Amino acid sequence: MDRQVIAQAILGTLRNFDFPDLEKVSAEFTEETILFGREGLLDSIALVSFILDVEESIRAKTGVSITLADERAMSQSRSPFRRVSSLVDYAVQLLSEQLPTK
Amino acid sequence: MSDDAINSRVMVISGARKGIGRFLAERYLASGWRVMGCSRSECDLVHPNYRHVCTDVADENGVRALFSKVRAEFGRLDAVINNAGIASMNHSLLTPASTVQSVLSTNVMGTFLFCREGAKLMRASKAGRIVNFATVATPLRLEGEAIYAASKAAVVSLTQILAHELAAMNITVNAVGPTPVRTDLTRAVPSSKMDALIARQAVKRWGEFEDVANVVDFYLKPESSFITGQVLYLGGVS
Repeated sequence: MDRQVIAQAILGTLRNFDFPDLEKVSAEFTEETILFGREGLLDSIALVSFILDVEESIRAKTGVSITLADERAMSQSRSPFRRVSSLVDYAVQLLSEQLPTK
Repeated sequence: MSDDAINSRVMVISGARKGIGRFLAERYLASGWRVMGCSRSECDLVHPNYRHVCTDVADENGVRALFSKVRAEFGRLDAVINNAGIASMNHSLLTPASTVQSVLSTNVMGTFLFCREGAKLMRASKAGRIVNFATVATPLRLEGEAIYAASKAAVVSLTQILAHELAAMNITVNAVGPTPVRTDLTRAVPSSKMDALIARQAVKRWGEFEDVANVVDFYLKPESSFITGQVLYLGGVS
């Protein structure tokens, strides 16, 4: 799976996201943008909606349904939901496990 | 399909092949809803606005596929009626673990999966109604129904907590708790048992499908947007 495609899907979801607290939202999002945790853009409720939006966006782009908030994600010492980059990495990893290798 | 049909509301009903689920499917089809029903086996309900999927409600992939079909066929979802359920009537000391597993799978896992996948679809329209099925067996602490009553107690907890979790999405989650209604679930129970159970209700009669539908109607009404996390038991049981 092309990492760039997933990064664009997640950044696109972020740009279209209906943020509860617009004051914290910067003009530009990058892979370094902090999503969740200290100085993160999203509170826990917004994170749920964002994850569902990302899953939907990835499904629309790739035709593959993945569950981002699985037990593995929750048990990692470094949360995949911390930054855009870590979420992209995690989504690519899940997709590569689901898609047949060429 | 006419504009009216395209714009009409969409409902998913589990266990729609027979009994209360079938009654509700026909009732809401008649009042203009589009309905996606499901059951483990084929269904003979034919209506231009009815679709049916055969799946076990506890099969995560099957449930996901069902809701993908709702998205593809109807493009929206307004209500989920979690009617599918199974019962086990036996003394707890005589109840095999496999029966416990089966009852919990259908009643708890099935309800959870339909709530989860349904809410994901309803989230898009920022509105929705989920109606779960509880039972008077829970508040009446019916002997011989420990596992069934416990599974439905779990459904009550799910209903109350999901009501909080989904309120921000304007999705209400409520439950109806029927008394005995003449269905497959009660057919095998001796009549003396049923009479004793009904004697414990404030209103001492069998429930009718219409009694259940009346509560579902109430939860589905647009005016019920402020009603969530509630369990309404029939027959005056509390």
